Amino acid sequence: MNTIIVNRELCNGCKRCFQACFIDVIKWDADAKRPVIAYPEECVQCMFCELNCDQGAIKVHPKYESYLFPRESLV
Amino acid sequence: MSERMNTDVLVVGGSIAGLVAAITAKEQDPGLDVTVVEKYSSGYSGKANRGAGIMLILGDHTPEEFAQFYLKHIGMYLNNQTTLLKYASMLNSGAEAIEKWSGKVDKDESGRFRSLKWASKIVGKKEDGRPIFDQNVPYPWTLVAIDLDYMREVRKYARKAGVRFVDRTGMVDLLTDGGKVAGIVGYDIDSGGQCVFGARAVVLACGNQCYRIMPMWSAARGEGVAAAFRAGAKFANCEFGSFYNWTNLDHFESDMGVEYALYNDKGENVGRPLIKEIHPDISADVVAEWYKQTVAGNGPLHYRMHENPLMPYLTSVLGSDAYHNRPYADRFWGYLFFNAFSQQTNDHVVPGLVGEFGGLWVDENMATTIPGLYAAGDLCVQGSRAWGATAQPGRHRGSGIGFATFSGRVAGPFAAGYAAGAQAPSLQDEQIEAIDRRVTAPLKSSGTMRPMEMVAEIQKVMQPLGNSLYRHEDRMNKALARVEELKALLPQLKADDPHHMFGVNECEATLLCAEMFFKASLERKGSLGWFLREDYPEPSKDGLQWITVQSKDGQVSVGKERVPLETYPFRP
Ligand SMILES: Cc1cc2nc3c(=O)[nH]c(=O)nc-3n(C[C@H](O)[C@H](O)[C@H](O)COP(=O)(O)OP(=O)(O)OC[C@H]3O[C@@H](n4cnc5c(N)ncnc54)[C@H](O)[C@@H]3O)c2cc1C
Ligand code: SF4
Ligand code: SF4
Repeated sequence: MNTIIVNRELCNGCKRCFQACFIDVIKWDADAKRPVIAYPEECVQCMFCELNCDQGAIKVHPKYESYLFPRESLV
Repeated sequence: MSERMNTDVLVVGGSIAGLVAAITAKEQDPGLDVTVVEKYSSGYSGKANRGAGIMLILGDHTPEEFAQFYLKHIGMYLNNQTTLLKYASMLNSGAEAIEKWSGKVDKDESGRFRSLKWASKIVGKKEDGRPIFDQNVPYPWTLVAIDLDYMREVRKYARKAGVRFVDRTGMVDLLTDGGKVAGIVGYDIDSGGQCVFGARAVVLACGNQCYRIMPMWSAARGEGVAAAFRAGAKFANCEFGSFYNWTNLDHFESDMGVEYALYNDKGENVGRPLIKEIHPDISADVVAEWYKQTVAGNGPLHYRMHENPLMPYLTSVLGSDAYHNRPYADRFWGYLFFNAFSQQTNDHVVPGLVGEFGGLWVDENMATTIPGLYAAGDLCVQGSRAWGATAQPGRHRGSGIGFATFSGRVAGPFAAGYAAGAQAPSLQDEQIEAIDRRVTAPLKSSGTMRPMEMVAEIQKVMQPLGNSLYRHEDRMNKALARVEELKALLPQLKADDPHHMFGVNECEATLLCAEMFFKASLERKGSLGWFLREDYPEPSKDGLQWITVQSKDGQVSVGKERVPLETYPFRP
């Protein structure tokens, strides 16, 4: 599973990472005004959350070995 | 709890095709209420901003020149030539429209689009270090480059033009009234609340089906395909929805031009001999060769990147901003390449199924067979038949954005015209309730299977090249039997929140796409263009026919239509 870390101190609650995720890995905690990494097992390492964070408050570390791909079913 | 809203033109999907349709519908008739419903967040969602961002235009070539080349080398005359010519004639103005709405198309010092033809060769360097290309290549089109933050700007433009946005709301089904479209049912992807939209006209622009195999294509889960099928719309060219990109199992990033430098484990180049003089992009024959070599025990197959003659083009245009000036794209690709190459351990290469299953039938005005229902973008690329016997991206890279922009600019105004003359829709409660029962059933299910487990099972049926690329009746019948088994397992899927409720709806849609794909493939008894059959290696003797798919009492029913060549300007 990819590791997605949010630094809650650096984060200013701008919501961009939540909007940037195109497959709903990231949810929004409206009370805390912080992103919630709800479904990290579905992350496809597109890096858009990290790319769009002006605060450098979110980082994605891909772990390709666990990426869901039918490795044994190629032919 | 259900929310209800009415609008004149409802656009489903807020990526490039949807935004273009919404803007042009609003501009055509500013008095109309135009609403975009997007499952995630429009401006960031979709594929359009996660790719290479190169867009096809004709430059100085004529639509006729483009069409003739295309028919002969790519589409194999299985094209709707009316739509092909219309597409070609709107490509240049499409790039100008994207520039007007976003300001993000790369330009040179004099303010003109900086274009570069596919497969151009570097012949020198300018004083500032930028490469000089020899653009004397045989392809009658060229490519411009868009910075990948353009979708945010296009959304801003749409808002200013008066388009309304409803984000975080996914459509699950269309509503009809007396055979005409009447609206959609959606759900809030965070709260799970139901939202029903009544609409005089609907534009479906919510992408195609890519089976969640290749990472960047992951958002394309076929919910629009399934909704249109259930509503009774016709489909065509479904058997072409199996594009493959070269990739490496260490990181799943895509490679292009591998076929020039594809070696078996004995050290023989097995790709190059199959490349014809005119080779616009990866051909099915080379992907099939990968399969044959692997089955014959000559794998793994290797990619000797330094022998790929496309590399100068690719590294200057896609891998860096050596040629174009696109700061955001440059950072994006920087991240991806850094991650990929820091973890790559070998030169093995495999074809990864991209899919791009988008067979919703549309005429040259992007009207589907359901009155009031229009479509744009990936969802109807194959169904438009403009591209003929090819899988998207149609062996001409840059055509995804090109087609989405073209079809959006056609669907938007036609939907607006229809809406202006249509009656206010009347919504039927029984329809809405039946949809709600179907979609929310997994929340109440006593099953234990998770949507991601089902995704993994579907991938095992779709990815194999013997099933989806180099096809054979026996293998396809087995694949189809497995799809039926998986369909029978759908009631076992369990959702405990709105995210997984959508996950189940996506699985159902994905299995339907798989079924349509295999049933249409079985019907095409002959190889043509991207479509290969091991058991029918020659083109069919029945002449050029489109395979169509439509629901008959809820079941996938397959038909055939002759391509009306006698009415078209160009013949084989
Ligand atoms: C890695 C990659 C590289 C590419 N490179 C290029 C390139 O260089 N040039 C090029 O021309 N093309 C390229 N393409 C193809 C191009 O991105 C697509 O053809 C284009 O984005 C199609 O636009 P679309 O609006 O039809 O679909 P999409 O961009 O897929 O958008 C569909 C939208 O619908 C939304 N949606 C989905 N389901 C629902 C639902 N149920 N309810 C509401 N909304 C929904 C999605 O969230 C999304 O916003 C590339 C694609 C990828 C993935
Ligand atoms: S983009 Fe960065 S600053 Fe904004 S909410 Fe996300 S982590 Fe916080
Ligand atoms: S890397 Fe992409 S898929 Fe993963 S959480 Fe970030 S935006 Fe979502």
